[in-house]
Amino acid sequence: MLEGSKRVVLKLTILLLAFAASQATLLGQSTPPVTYTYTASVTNQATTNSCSAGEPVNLTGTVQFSYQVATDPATGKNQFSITASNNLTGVGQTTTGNYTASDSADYVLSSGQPSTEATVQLKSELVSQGSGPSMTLVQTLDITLDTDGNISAQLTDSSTQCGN
Amino acid sequence: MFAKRLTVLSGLALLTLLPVNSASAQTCSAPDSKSTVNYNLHNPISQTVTNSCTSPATTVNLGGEFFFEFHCETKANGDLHEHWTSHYNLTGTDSNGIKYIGKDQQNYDLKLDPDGTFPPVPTSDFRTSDKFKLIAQGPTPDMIMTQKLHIKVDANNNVTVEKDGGPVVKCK
Repeated sequence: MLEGSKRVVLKLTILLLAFAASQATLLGQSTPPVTYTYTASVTNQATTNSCSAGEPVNLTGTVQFSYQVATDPATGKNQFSITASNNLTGVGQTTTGNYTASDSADYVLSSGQPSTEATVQLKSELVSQGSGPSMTLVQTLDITLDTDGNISAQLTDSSTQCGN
Repeated sequence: MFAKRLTVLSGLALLTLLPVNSASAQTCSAPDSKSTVNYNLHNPISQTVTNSCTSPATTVNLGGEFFFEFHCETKANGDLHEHWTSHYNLTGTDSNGIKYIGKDQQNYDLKLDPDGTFPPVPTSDFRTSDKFKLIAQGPTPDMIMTQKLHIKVDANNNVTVEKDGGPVVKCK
């Protein structure tokens, strides 16, 4: 009787060890989340200037969205990780001087729903290549994305600031 | 009505727990609500950062406050949204006596997430990186600081703002 119990315990131990090993293997082979990319073109888009020393600038280039969908290990919710990056050139509407902007920002949204939406601001330095002052470019981005990797992203506003 | 609190955990292990105006999570989640629920938090800052934009690098002592505004709104289609604004009102002096002023803000609008109960209670969990400028008062280069934040709104409408690491300084 006792020997039979030992055999059962031994078999259970082996089964548990095999299960643990298979899980470790699975974890080790877990595939990283897919990185999706969407690029929005910007063509001659005028900025609203709220900077007394600055000027309106017409922007051309891209705003790129790189994003991943994963599961938040702490909450089990969907985790949408987004990086928005711009790469822009601009022409000052008063001085005709050139400007460049290139920067990025990260946003992570957790949701129990299969999709999420957010409006965020992407700030970057609009560096003057001419006589005008450099300014801070603030781009407003409307983003909706889902767990299938579909995205809708729009640049809804561009404005410039000088700081203080 | 529930008493609501805002919590800020700073990277300096500073914990601030401030009472704000009482408000109800139900007000935020009521489908026919046109009103908003408003919160705000003034969080004093006393922090030292290294300005690598100068040569040699200098130490800048920052004072002032981070000020966060938050309100919840029910959209016409029934969706619940939070509007978040981070304000930065900072002054600083570096080890050479150069003064810096930072007055900036950053805005967000996020669709709130039902917590799974019925009636649903909105919650939110997002991470962002606020970017703000510290303007040098003189020919010294300005500093651009990026601070990662983790912002959560739970089902009881408790709002937590946690600094995710220290500020990253870039040169203008």
